[in-house]
Amino acid sequence: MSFGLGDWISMIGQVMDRLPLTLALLFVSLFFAIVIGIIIAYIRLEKIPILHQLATIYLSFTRSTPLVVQLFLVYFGIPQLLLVFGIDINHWSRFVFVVITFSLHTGAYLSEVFRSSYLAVGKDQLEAAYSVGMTYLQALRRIMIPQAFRVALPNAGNHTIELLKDTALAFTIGMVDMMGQVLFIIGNNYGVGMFEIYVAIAIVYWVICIVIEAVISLIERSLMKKHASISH
Amino acid sequence: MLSVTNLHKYYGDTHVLKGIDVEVAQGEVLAIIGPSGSGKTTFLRCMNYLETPNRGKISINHVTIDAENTTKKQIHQLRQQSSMVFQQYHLFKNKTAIENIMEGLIITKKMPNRKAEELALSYLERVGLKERRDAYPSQLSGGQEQRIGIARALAMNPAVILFDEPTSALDPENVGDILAIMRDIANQGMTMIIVTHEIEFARNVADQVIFMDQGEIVEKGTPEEVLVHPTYERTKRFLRRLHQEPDFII
Repeated sequence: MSFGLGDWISMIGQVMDRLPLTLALLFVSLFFAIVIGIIIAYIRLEKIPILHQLATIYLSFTRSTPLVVQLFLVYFGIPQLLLVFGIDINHWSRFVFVVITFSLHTGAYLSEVFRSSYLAVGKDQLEAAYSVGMTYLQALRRIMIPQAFRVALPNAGNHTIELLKDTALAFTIGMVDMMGQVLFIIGNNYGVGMFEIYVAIAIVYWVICIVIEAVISLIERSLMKKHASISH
Repeated sequence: MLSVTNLHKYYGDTHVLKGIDVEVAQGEVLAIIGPSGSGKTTFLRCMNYLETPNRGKISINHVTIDAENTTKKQIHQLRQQSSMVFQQYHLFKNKTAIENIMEGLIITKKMPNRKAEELALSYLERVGLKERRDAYPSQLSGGQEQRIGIARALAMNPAVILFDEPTSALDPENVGDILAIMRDIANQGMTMIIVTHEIEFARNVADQVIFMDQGEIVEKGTPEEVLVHPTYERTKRFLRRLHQEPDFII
Protein backbone atom coordinates (compact mmCIF):
# COMPACT_ATOMS: atom_id res chain seq x y z
CA MET A 1 0.00 0.00 0.00
CA SER A 2 1.41 3.36 -0.95
CA PHE A 3 0.84 6.39 1.20
CA GLY A 4 0.75 9.70 -0.69
CA LEU A 5 0.83 13.28 0.47
CA GLY A 6 -2.93 13.48 0.08
CA ASP A 7 -3.39 10.58 2.48
CA TRP A 8 -1.16 12.26 5.06
CA ILE A 9 -3.10 15.51 4.81
CA SER A 10 -6.44 13.76 5.13
CA MET A 11 -5.20 11.77 8.11
CA ILE A 12 -3.87 14.83 9.91
CA GLY A 13 -7.16 16.49 9.06
CA GLN A 14 -9.08 13.64 10.71
CA VAL A 15 -6.94 13.94 13.86
CA MET A 16 -7.35 17.73 13.85
CA ASP A 17 -11.12 17.30 13.83
CA ARG A 18 -10.77 16.71 17.54
CA LEU A 19 -8.30 19.52 18.15
CA PRO A 20 -11.01 21.84 19.56
CA LEU A 21 -11.83 19.29 22.27
CA THR A 22 -8.17 18.79 23.17
CA LEU A 23 -7.64 22.56 23.34
CA ALA A 24 -10.81 22.99 25.39
CA LEU A 25 -9.50 20.37 27.85
CA LEU A 26 -6.18 22.20 27.94
CA PHE A 27 -7.48 25.71 28.49
CA VAL A 28 -10.33 24.93 30.87
CA SER A 29 -8.07 22.70 32.99
CA LEU A 30 -5.27 25.26 32.88
CA PHE A 31 -7.62 27.99 34.06
CA PHE A 32 -8.76 26.01 37.09
CA ALA A 33 -5.21 24.74 37.71
CA ILE A 34 -4.00 28.35 37.95
CA VAL A 35 -6.81 29.19 40.38
CA ILE A 36 -6.02 26.12 42.51
CA GLY A 37 -2.28 26.84 42.25
CA ILE A 38 -2.72 30.38 43.56
CA ILE A 39 -4.94 29.27 46.44
CA ILE A 40 -2.62 26.44 47.50
CA ALA A 41 0.46 28.64 47.16
CA TYR A 42 -1.19 31.27 49.35
CA ILE A 43 -2.17 28.67 51.96
CA ARG A 44 1.37 27.30 52.10
CA LEU A 45 3.06 30.69 52.12
CA GLU A 46 0.85 31.99 54.91
CA LYS A 47 1.02 28.63 56.74
CA ILE A 48 -2.71 28.77 57.48
CA PRO A 49 -3.37 26.11 60.14
CA ILE A 50 -5.19 22.89 59.11
CA LEU A 51 -5.48 24.04 55.47
CA HIS A 52 -1.69 24.06 55.32
CA GLN A 53 -1.48 20.42 56.42
CA LEU A 54 -4.28 19.40 54.06
CA ALA A 55 -2.51 21.15 51.19
CA THR A 56 0.71 19.29 51.97
CA ILE A 57 -1.10 15.94 51.89
CA TYR A 58 -2.79 16.88 48.63
CA LEU A 59 0.54 17.85 47.06
CA SER A 60 2.21 14.69 48.24
CA PHE A 61 -0.63 12.50 46.92
CA THR A 62 -0.79 14.24 43.55
CA ARG A 63 2.92 14.02 42.98
CA SER A 64 3.22 10.41 44.09
CA THR A 65 0.44 8.74 42.11
CA PRO A 66 0.18 8.27 38.34
CA LEU A 67 -2.14 10.66 36.57
CA VAL A 68 -4.11 7.80 35.03
CA VAL A 69 -4.82 6.43 38.50
CA GLN A 70 -6.02 9.86 39.61
CA LEU A 71 -8.26 10.04 36.55
CA PHE A 72 -9.89 6.69 37.37
CA LEU A 73 -10.23 7.65 41.01
CA VAL A 74 -12.08 10.81 40.07
CA TYR A 75 -14.16 9.26 37.29
CA PHE A 76 -15.21 6.08 39.11
CA GLY A 77 -14.58 7.03 42.72
CA ILE A 78 -16.23 10.41 43.24
CA PRO A 79 -19.68 9.42 41.83
CA GLN A 80 -19.74 6.37 44.11
CA LEU A 81 -18.62 8.39 47.07
CA LEU A 82 -21.29 11.01 46.48
CA LEU A 83 -23.93 8.35 45.96
CA VAL A 84 -23.42 7.43 49.61
CA PHE A 85 -24.68 10.91 50.44
CA GLY A 86 -27.54 10.52 48.01
CA ILE A 87 -26.05 12.73 45.32
CA ASP A 88 -26.12 11.24 41.84
CA ILE A 89 -23.59 12.69 39.41
CA ASN A 90 -23.33 9.69 37.10
CA HIS A 91 -25.02 11.61 34.32
CA TRP A 92 -22.35 14.32 34.35
CA SER A 93 -20.31 14.67 31.20
CA ARG A 94 -16.92 12.96 31.08
CA PHE A 95 -15.46 16.34 30.23
CA VAL A 96 -16.18 17.52 33.78
CA PHE A 97 -14.33 14.59 35.36
CA VAL A 98 -11.34 15.00 33.09
CA VAL A 99 -11.16 18.72 33.84
CA ILE A 100 -11.42 18.06 37.60
CA THR A 101 -8.56 15.57 37.46
CA PHE A 102 -6.27 17.64 35.28
CA SER A 103 -6.95 20.84 37.21
CA LEU A 104 -6.11 19.17 40.51
CA HIS A 105 -3.04 17.52 39.03
CA THR A 106 -1.54 20.56 37.30
CA GLY A 107 -2.72 22.87 40.11
CA ALA A 108 -0.49 20.99 42.54
CA TYR A 109 2.58 21.52 40.39
CA LEU A 110 1.70 25.13 39.61
CA SER A 111 1.25 25.93 43.30
CA GLU A 112 4.89 25.00 43.85
CA VAL A 113 5.94 27.13 40.88
CA PHE A 114 3.98 30.11 42.22
CA ARG A 115 5.22 29.65 45.76
CA SER A 116 8.88 29.49 44.81
CA SER A 117 8.50 32.47 42.45
CA TYR A 118 6.96 34.54 45.21
CA LEU A 119 9.80 33.59 47.54
CA ALA A 120 12.33 34.40 44.81
CA VAL A 121 11.11 38.00 44.66
CA GLY A 122 12.24 38.45 48.23
CA LYS A 123 10.97 39.97 51.42
CA ASP A 124 12.90 43.18 50.80
CA GLN A 125 10.52 44.18 48.02
CA LEU A 126 7.56 43.72 50.35
CA GLU A 127 9.30 45.76 53.04
CA ALA A 128 10.04 48.53 50.56
CA ALA A 129 6.35 48.61 49.64
CA TYR A 130 5.38 48.80 53.31
CA SER A 131 7.91 51.57 53.85
CA VAL A 132 6.04 53.85 51.44
CA GLY A 133 2.77 53.09 53.20
CA MET A 134 1.26 50.39 50.99
CA THR A 135 -1.05 47.69 52.31
CA TYR A 136 -0.28 44.00 51.76
CA LEU A 137 -2.76 43.75 48.88
CA GLN A 138 -1.39 46.87 47.19
CA ALA A 139 2.14 45.50 47.56
CA LEU A 140 1.04 42.18 46.04
CA ARG A 141 -0.64 43.81 43.08
CA ARG A 142 1.94 46.46 42.25
CA ILE A 143 5.24 44.94 43.33
CA MET A 144 5.22 41.25 44.24
CA ILE A 145 2.99 39.63 41.60
CA PRO A 146 4.45 41.44 38.57
CA GLN A 147 7.94 40.29 39.62
CA ALA A 148 6.84 36.78 40.61
CA PHE A 149 5.04 36.39 37.28
CA ARG A 150 8.28 36.88 35.41
CA VAL A 151 10.05 34.29 37.51
CA ALA A 152 7.17 31.82 37.20
CA LEU A 153 6.67 32.09 33.46
CA PRO A 154 9.23 29.57 32.12
CA ASN A 155 8.22 26.87 34.61
CA ALA A 156 4.51 27.54 34.22
CA GLY A 157 5.05 27.21 30.47
CA ASN A 158 6.63 23.80 30.92
CA HIS A 159 3.68 22.64 32.99
CA THR A 160 1.28 23.91 30.33
CA ILE A 161 3.04 21.76 27.75
CA GLU A 162 2.99 18.86 30.18
CA LEU A 163 -0.74 19.35 30.61
CA LEU A 164 -1.32 19.35 26.87
CA LYS A 165 0.38 15.98 26.57
CA ASP A 166 -1.51 14.66 29.59
CA THR A 167 -4.85 15.41 27.92
CA ALA A 168 -4.11 12.40 25.70
CA LEU A 169 -5.13 10.27 28.70
CA ALA A 170 -8.74 11.43 28.43
CA PHE A 171 -9.42 8.58 26.01
CA THR A 172 -8.96 6.08 28.83
CA ILE A 173 -12.37 7.01 30.22
CA GLY A 174 -13.88 7.04 26.75
CA MET A 175 -13.50 10.63 25.62
CA VAL A 176 -12.92 11.08 21.93
CA ASP A 177 -10.22 13.73 21.95
CA MET A 178 -7.39 13.60 19.40
CA MET A 179 -6.00 10.43 20.94
CA GLY A 180 -9.45 8.86 21.15
CA GLN A 181 -10.01 9.73 17.50
CA VAL A 182 -6.78 7.98 16.54
CA LEU A 183 -7.81 4.79 18.32
CA PHE A 184 -11.22 5.08 16.68
CA ILE A 185 -9.68 5.31 13.20
CA ILE A 186 -7.38 2.38 13.88
CA GLY A 187 -10.35 0.31 15.01
CA ASN A 188 -12.30 1.18 11.88
CA ASN A 189 -9.40 0.21 9.62
CA TYR A 190 -8.75 -3.08 11.42
CA GLY A 191 -5.28 -1.85 12.38
CA VAL A 192 -4.18 -0.89 8.88
CA GLY A 193 -2.04 2.28 8.71
CA MET A 194 -1.40 2.24 12.46
CA PHE A 195 2.13 3.56 12.17
CA GLU A 196 1.16 6.45 9.91
CA ILE A 197 -1.66 7.61 12.14
CA TYR A 198 0.57 7.66 15.21
CA VAL A 199 3.11 9.68 13.27
CA ALA A 200 0.32 12.07 12.32
CA ILE A 201 -0.88 12.63 15.89
CA ALA A 202 2.70 13.00 17.15
CA ILE A 203 3.25 15.76 14.61
CA VAL A 204 0.05 17.53 15.68
CA TYR A 205 1.03 17.48 19.38
CA TRP A 206 4.52 18.58 18.50
CA VAL A 207 3.33 21.57 16.50
CA ILE A 208 0.96 22.70 19.26
CA CYS A 209 3.82 22.52 21.78
CA ILE A 210 6.04 24.60 19.51
CA VAL A 211 3.29 27.20 19.28
CA ILE A 212 2.87 27.30 23.09
CA GLU A 213 6.63 27.62 23.54
CA ALA A 214 6.78 30.44 21.02
CA VAL A 215 3.98 32.35 22.75
CA ILE A 216 5.66 32.01 26.12
CA SER A 217 9.06 33.10 24.93
CA LEU A 218 7.37 36.06 23.23
CA ILE A 219 5.83 37.14 26.54
CA GLU A 220 9.13 36.51 28.30
CA ARG A 221 11.03 38.67 25.87
CA SER A 222 8.58 41.54 26.10
CA LEU A 223 8.81 41.46 29.91
CA MET A 224 12.58 41.26 29.71
CA LYS A 225 12.65 44.40 27.64
CA LYS A 226 10.50 46.15 30.17
CA HIS A 227 12.40 45.25 33.31
CA ALA A 228 15.87 45.12 31.81
CA SER A 229 17.99 42.32 33.19
CA ILE A 230 16.61 39.99 35.83
CA SER A 231 19.66 39.64 38.01
CA HIS A 232 20.98 42.32 40.19
CA MET B 1 6.44 64.38 67.79
CA LEU B 2 7.88 60.90 67.95
CA SER B 3 8.04 58.99 71.17
CA VAL B 4 8.82 55.41 72.11
CA THR B 5 8.14 54.10 75.59
CA ASN B 6 9.49 50.93 77.12
CA LEU B 7 9.84 49.00 73.85
CA HIS B 8 10.64 45.29 74.13
CA LYS B 9 11.36 42.78 71.41
CA TYR B 10 12.13 39.07 71.65
CA TYR B 11 13.38 36.66 69.00
CA GLY B 12 12.30 33.43 70.60
CA ASP B 13 14.11 33.48 73.94
CA THR B 14 16.54 36.21 72.98
CA HIS B 15 15.69 39.57 74.43
CA VAL B 16 16.91 41.92 71.68
CA LEU B 17 15.32 45.18 72.82
CA LYS B 18 15.18 45.65 76.59
CA GLY B 19 12.91 48.58 77.14
CA ILE B 20 13.86 51.41 74.82
CA ASP B 21 12.68 54.98 75.54
CA VAL B 22 13.21 57.68 72.95
CA GLU B 23 11.80 61.15 72.31
CA VAL B 24 12.40 63.00 69.06
CA ALA B 25 11.13 66.52 68.50
CA GLN B 26 9.95 67.96 65.21
CA GLY B 27 12.91 68.70 62.92
CA GLU B 28 15.37 66.87 65.14
CA VAL B 29 18.01 64.45 63.88
CA LEU B 30 18.64 61.41 66.04
CA ALA B 31 21.69 59.24 65.34
CA ILE B 32 21.86 55.74 66.76
CA ILE B 33 25.29 54.17 67.03
CA GLY B 34 26.51 50.94 68.54
CA PRO B 35 28.23 47.65 67.74
CA SER B 36 26.53 45.20 65.39
CA GLY B 37 24.03 43.01 67.18
CA SER B 38 23.19 45.79 69.59
CA GLY B 39 19.60 45.96 68.35
CA LYS B 40 19.80 49.38 66.72
CA THR B 41 18.49 48.22 63.34
CA THR B 42 15.78 46.14 65.00
CA PHE B 43 14.73 49.21 66.94
CA LEU B 44 14.58 51.30 63.79
CA ARG B 45 12.52 48.64 62.00
CA CYS B 46 10.05 48.59 64.88
CA MET B 47 9.29 52.26 64.14
CA ASN B 48 7.40 51.26 60.98
CA TYR B 49 6.50 47.76 62.11
CA LEU B 50 8.73 45.89 59.68
CA GLU B 51 9.66 44.23 62.96
CA THR B 52 6.89 43.56 65.45
CA PRO B 53 7.77 44.61 69.00
CA ASN B 54 6.33 42.55 71.84
CA ARG B 55 5.71 45.30 74.35
CA GLY B 56 5.77 49.08 74.55
CA LYS B 57 4.26 52.13 72.88
CA ILE B 58 5.24 53.91 69.69
CA SER B 59 3.72 57.19 68.75
CA ILE B 60 4.41 59.30 65.67
CA ASN B 61 2.39 62.46 65.13
CA HIS B 62 -1.17 61.64 66.17
CA VAL B 63 -0.82 57.87 65.63
CA THR B 64 -0.15 55.88 68.78
CA ILE B 65 0.28 52.14 68.79
CA ASP B 66 0.44 49.81 71.76
CA ALA B 67 2.44 46.71 70.86
CA GLU B 68 0.30 44.43 72.98
CA ASN B 69 -2.90 45.46 71.25
CA THR B 70 -2.61 46.39 67.59
CA THR B 71 -4.89 46.28 64.59
CA LYS B 72 -3.88 46.06 60.93
CA LYS B 73 -5.35 49.50 60.42
CA GLN B 74 -3.18 51.01 63.15
CA ILE B 75 -0.06 49.43 61.66
CA HIS B 76 -1.01 50.80 58.26
CA GLN B 77 -1.54 54.27 59.73
CA LEU B 78 1.77 54.13 61.59
CA ARG B 79 3.62 53.17 58.41
CA GLN B 80 2.17 56.16 56.62
CA GLN B 81 3.84 58.48 59.13
CA SER B 82 7.34 57.44 58.15
CA SER B 83 9.39 56.31 55.21
CA MET B 84 12.60 54.34 55.18
CA VAL B 85 15.96 54.32 53.44
CA PHE B 86 17.43 50.82 53.45
CA GLN B 87 20.99 49.64 53.68
CA GLN B 88 20.57 47.55 50.51
CA TYR B 89 18.45 50.29 48.85
CA HIS B 90 15.50 47.92 48.17
CA LEU B 91 14.25 49.77 45.13
CA PHE B 92 11.30 48.21 43.32
CA LYS B 93 13.06 46.15 40.68
CA ASN B 94 10.13 46.19 38.28
CA LYS B 95 9.96 49.98 38.24
CA THR B 96 12.15 52.66 36.68
CA ALA B 97 13.86 55.31 38.79
CA ILE B 98 11.00 57.76 38.41
CA GLU B 99 8.34 55.06 38.87
CA ASN B 100 10.02 54.06 42.12
CA ILE B 101 9.37 57.54 43.44
CA MET B 102 5.89 57.82 41.92
CA GLU B 103 4.68 54.47 43.25
CA GLY B 104 3.96 55.57 46.82
CA LEU B 105 2.53 58.89 45.65
CA ILE B 106 0.02 57.20 43.35
CA ILE B 107 -0.91 54.25 45.54
CA THR B 108 -0.66 55.62 49.08
CA LYS B 109 -1.26 59.31 48.52
CA LYS B 110 -3.77 58.75 45.69
CA MET B 111 -2.10 61.45 43.61
CA PRO B 112 -3.05 61.75 39.93
CA ASN B 113 -0.38 60.36 37.58
CA ARG B 114 0.62 63.69 36.06
CA LYS B 115 1.09 65.37 39.40
CA ALA B 116 3.03 62.42 40.81
CA GLU B 117 5.35 62.48 37.82
CA GLU B 118 6.03 66.19 38.20
CA LEU B 119 6.74 65.80 41.87
CA ALA B 120 8.91 62.71 41.35
CA LEU B 121 10.90 64.58 38.74
CA SER B 122 11.59 67.41 41.16
CA TYR B 123 12.92 64.92 43.71
CA LEU B 124 15.04 63.21 41.05
CA GLU B 125 16.52 66.59 40.31
CA ARG B 126 17.18 67.17 43.97
CA VAL B 127 19.30 64.02 44.20
CA GLY B 128 20.94 64.84 40.86
CA LEU B 129 19.60 61.93 38.80
CA LYS B 130 17.13 63.61 36.48
CA GLU B 131 18.80 62.19 33.40
CA ARG B 132 18.45 58.60 34.73
CA ARG B 133 14.69 58.81 35.16
CA ASP B 134 13.93 55.82 32.94
CA ALA B 135 16.69 53.51 34.17
CA TYR B 136 15.77 50.32 36.01
CA PRO B 137 17.51 49.61 39.35
CA SER B 138 19.62 46.91 37.69
CA GLN B 139 21.06 49.60 35.41
CA LEU B 140 22.06 51.92 38.26
CA SER B 141 25.15 51.93 40.46
CA GLY B 142 24.85 51.45 44.22
CA GLY B 143 25.29 55.14 44.91
CA GLN B 144 22.65 56.04 42.33
CA GLU B 145 20.25 53.45 43.72
CA GLN B 146 20.61 54.88 47.19
CA ARG B 147 19.97 58.38 45.91
CA ILE B 148 16.73 57.12 44.34
CA GLY B 149 15.95 55.41 47.64
CA ILE B 150 16.32 58.72 49.45
CA ALA B 151 14.23 60.53 46.83
CA ARG B 152 11.52 57.87 47.22
CA ALA B 153 11.49 58.36 50.99
CA LEU B 154 11.50 62.17 50.72
CA ALA B 155 8.71 62.31 48.18
CA MET B 156 6.29 60.71 50.64
CA ASN B 157 6.73 63.86 52.75
CA PRO B 158 6.63 61.80 55.96
CA ALA B 159 6.73 63.01 59.54
CA VAL B 160 10.04 61.19 59.94
CA ILE B 161 12.53 59.43 57.67
CA LEU B 162 14.23 56.31 59.02
CA PHE B 163 17.74 55.61 57.70
CA ASP B 164 19.07 52.08 58.20
CA GLU B 165 22.85 52.30 57.72
CA PRO B 166 22.33 54.07 54.40
CA THR B 167 26.00 54.20 53.46
CA SER B 168 27.22 50.81 54.70
CA ALA B 169 26.80 49.04 51.37
CA LEU B 170 28.37 51.79 49.28
CA ASP B 171 31.79 52.30 47.74
CA PRO B 172 33.81 54.80 49.78
CA GLU B 173 33.65 57.33 46.97
CA ASN B 174 29.84 57.33 47.03
CA VAL B 175 29.53 57.66 50.79
CA GLY B 176 30.32 61.36 50.75
CA ASP B 177 27.60 62.10 48.18
CA ILE B 178 24.92 60.33 50.17
CA LEU B 179 25.97 61.97 53.43
CA ALA B 180 25.91 65.37 51.72
CA ILE B 181 22.35 64.76 50.55
CA MET B 182 21.34 63.66 54.04
CA ARG B 183 22.90 66.71 55.61
CA ASP B 184 20.99 68.84 53.14
CA ILE B 185 17.72 67.17 54.11
CA ALA B 186 18.48 67.67 57.80
CA ASN B 187 19.20 71.33 57.25
CA GLN B 188 15.79 71.74 55.67
CA GLY B 189 14.15 70.67 58.90
CA MET B 190 13.24 67.05 58.22
CA THR B 191 12.92 64.83 61.28
CA MET B 192 15.33 61.94 60.87
CA ILE B 193 16.41 58.84 62.75
CA ILE B 194 19.69 57.50 61.44
CA VAL B 195 21.35 54.22 62.32
CA THR B 196 24.94 54.75 61.27
CA HIS B 197 28.58 53.95 61.71
CA GLU B 198 29.61 57.37 60.38
CA ILE B 199 30.62 58.92 63.71
CA GLU B 200 31.92 62.10 62.13
CA PHE B 201 28.62 62.61 60.33
CA ALA B 202 26.65 61.96 63.52
CA ARG B 203 28.74 64.52 65.36
CA ASN B 204 28.17 67.20 62.74
CA VAL B 205 24.54 66.63 61.85
CA ALA B 206 22.73 64.98 64.75
CA ASP B 207 20.96 66.89 67.53
CA GLN B 208 20.78 63.81 69.68
CA VAL B 209 22.94 60.69 69.76
CA ILE B 210 22.10 57.32 71.30
CA PHE B 211 24.65 54.63 71.97
CA MET B 212 23.07 51.18 72.11
CA ASP B 213 24.61 47.94 73.26
CA GLN B 214 23.05 44.53 73.91
CA GLY B 215 19.51 45.72 73.40
CA GLU B 216 19.56 48.73 75.67
CA ILE B 217 20.39 52.40 75.51
CA VAL B 218 23.69 52.86 77.30
CA GLU B 219 24.09 56.55 76.76
CA LYS B 220 22.01 59.33 75.32
CA GLY B 221 22.67 63.02 74.83
CA THR B 222 24.08 65.65 72.51
CA PRO B 223 26.80 64.54 70.07
CA GLU B 224 29.27 66.40 72.23
CA GLU B 225 28.24 64.46 75.35
CA VAL B 226 28.06 61.00 73.80
CA LEU B 227 30.77 61.10 71.17
CA VAL B 228 33.36 63.44 72.65
CA HIS B 229 32.95 63.05 76.40
CA PRO B 230 31.23 59.72 76.94
CA THR B 231 30.50 58.77 80.54
CA TYR B 232 30.25 55.03 80.30
CA GLU B 233 33.06 52.56 79.76
CA ARG B 234 31.15 50.64 77.06
CA THR B 235 30.74 53.79 74.98
CA LYS B 236 34.36 54.72 75.43
CA ARG B 237 35.52 51.27 74.39
CA PHE B 238 33.30 51.31 71.28
CA LEU B 239 34.50 54.75 70.20
CA ARG B 240 38.14 53.94 70.92
CA ARG B 241 37.93 50.88 68.72
CA LEU B 242 36.35 52.90 65.90
CA HIS B 243 39.04 55.56 66.12
CA GLN B 244 41.89 53.09 66.32
CA GLU B 245 40.88 51.07 63.31
CA PRO B 246 42.58 52.47 60.26
CA ASP B 247 40.48 52.68 57.10
CA PHE B 248 42.83 50.31 55.35
CA ILE B 249 46.16 48.65 55.89
CA ILE B 250 48.77 48.56 53.18
